Amino acid sequence: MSGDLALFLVTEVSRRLREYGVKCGTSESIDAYRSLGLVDVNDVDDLKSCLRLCMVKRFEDYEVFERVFEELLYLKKPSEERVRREGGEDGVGAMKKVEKPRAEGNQSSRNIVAYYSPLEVLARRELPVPTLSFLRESRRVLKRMRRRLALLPGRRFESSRTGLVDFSSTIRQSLATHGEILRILRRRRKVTRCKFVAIFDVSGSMDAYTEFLMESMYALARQSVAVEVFVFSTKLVRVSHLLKFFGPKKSAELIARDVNIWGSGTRIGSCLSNFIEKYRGMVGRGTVALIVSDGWDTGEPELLDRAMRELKSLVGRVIWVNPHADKPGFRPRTIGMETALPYIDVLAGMNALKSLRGFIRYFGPAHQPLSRKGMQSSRRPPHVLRSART
Amino acid sequence: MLGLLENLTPESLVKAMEKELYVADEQLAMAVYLALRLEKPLLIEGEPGCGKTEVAKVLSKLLNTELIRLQCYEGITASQALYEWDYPRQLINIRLLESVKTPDEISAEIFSEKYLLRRPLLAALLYEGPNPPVLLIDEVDRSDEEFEGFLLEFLAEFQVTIPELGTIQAKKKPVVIITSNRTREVGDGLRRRCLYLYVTYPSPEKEKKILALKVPQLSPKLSEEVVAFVQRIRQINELSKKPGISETIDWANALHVLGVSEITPNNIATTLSCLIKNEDDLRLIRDLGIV
Repeated sequence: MSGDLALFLVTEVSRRLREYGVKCGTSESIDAYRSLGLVDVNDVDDLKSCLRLCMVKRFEDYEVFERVFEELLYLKKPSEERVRREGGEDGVGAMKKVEKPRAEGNQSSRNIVAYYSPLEVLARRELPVPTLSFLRESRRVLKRMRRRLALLPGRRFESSRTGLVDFSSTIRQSLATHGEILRILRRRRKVTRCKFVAIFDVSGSMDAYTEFLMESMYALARQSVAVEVFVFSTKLVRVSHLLKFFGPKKSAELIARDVNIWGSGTRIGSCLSNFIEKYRGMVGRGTVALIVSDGWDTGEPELLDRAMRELKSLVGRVIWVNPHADKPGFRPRTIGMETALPYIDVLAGMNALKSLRGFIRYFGPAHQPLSRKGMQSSRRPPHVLRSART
Repeated sequence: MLGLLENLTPESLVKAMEKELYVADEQLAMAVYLALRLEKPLLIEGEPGCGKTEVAKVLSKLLNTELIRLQCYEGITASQALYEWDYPRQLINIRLLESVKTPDEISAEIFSEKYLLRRPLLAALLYEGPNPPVLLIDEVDRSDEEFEGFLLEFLAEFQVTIPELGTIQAKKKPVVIITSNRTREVGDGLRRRCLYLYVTYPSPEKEKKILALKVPQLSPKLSEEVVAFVQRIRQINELSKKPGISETIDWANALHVLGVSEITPNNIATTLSCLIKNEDDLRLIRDLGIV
């Protein structure tokens, strides 16, 4: 392949990839051009895998590349028709052979098999796709929230009286006294992190907030490894894996297809006990449990009370997000809310997850700083009660 | 062994890797080939147990060089990955040198390379040998975003800056293999600096070939049955963790050790724990009546 042709191919592929929204920068193009000089470009398979390696940096974009390459393969331009044809004839067959199994494998892995469907199957519904602007804003909010709620030691150190000997500052300090060490400094890890378990109510009474639910679910799951997301209505389903690996559109599709519990009744108590039973190992003292629900519960309050008590004893903090809490004059009156209230550290409205302003309202400096020991804070009334009065 | 790098083609790489008991498909061979030629890091993503880490191990054997491994985990810091001063030794030596040398000489002495503890990244830069070392940054998705950001300078320039010593440049650019299990999205910056490959479960043919290499004692008939069964298990979408190649190999080994000559529901039931390592998944498979 001549240099011109390679250049044309690379620029064309990158142009088309960008058109489809794949992030493909100049450095990718340079790599691709350099690598074309290193492989046997008459072999279409080689050419393809070489371009893909250099220009596509996400598994999700493999499909797009496949399409772009296919398009270019049949693109007829007088100058390179010969090469393309030559490659095309034997290449397409081979390519199909190579690519088919993978495509089929993907297909089947996405199909849901009928026997897994819950009994309370409802009509499948379309779910809104999380928007980018929301994700951007919520990323900042969630970052702050994790710091604010921190329970676990992070990466950075702070000086302290206990802990390991801090050699580097001990020595540095000793320079002032000509290397005579008068005081041994110590340091420990700053508490900056926490694990998150978010449990979202997707029952009928939350229908109006589906968009918010989807968006915050996605943003939460994408924020860190240490976040697990569950949804519940009449039963509890774990959705983190669906949210973590796919783009916003795909995850919305997958959840709409695989999680058939949207819009049914609520059994908070039994779902929470189910969570504790099944995923007890997932939570610890460093975990913050975030429950998003309006508290309309059709189950027995005793069950919810027991589940909440147990949850509280397992995790470091319990945050309850009630979509109605944003409204002025809100009082936690639903049975579920009243039962759960003694075990909640912070009761927030959904603005707390949506915007920085909302976050500050519920978690900001106006409130007393959250104590590091989660148990103590639960004896005080939840923060929102104070803010609702003002 | 320098010869390998000189007359390198993807095809020769497949053969060489097969000698080291690694079955590479064309995609993977091409990826490794380009990573070696372009001297760029290779980011391999994919399901656990599909031979991502193994690539680096095999490559280090092929190049007859050292494998320097950096296992990432939550909370890993730069000082654990790059370098740290050997403070206790520095302290002792300040005491010893106090009477003989001036303070300036002492500080020059204690902040020299002798007192530097080399962690994996620095060790890879300072490696001395005929061939570049293979640096494996394993499970980068487990580390925090901050650490990933810290890796960027290293991966782009192959250099690190130590305030007391200055910038240290790689003598030979190490061959860098980065793996990720996609528990967290790896950032665009890191992706941009690497070649990217996604590996998934192997085709039946490839898996048979792998078994033939890794568990040669297994009879071809049994190996065929093993592969067919594992491939069938992988079709079940509800499994929270599908068995990877390493599980297949474990299972084949177990069957061989037990002296099994053909697969029956009974011996599947007793050895299934090699393939499925999750209580819920085991129950699911039992409920489906496969066992």
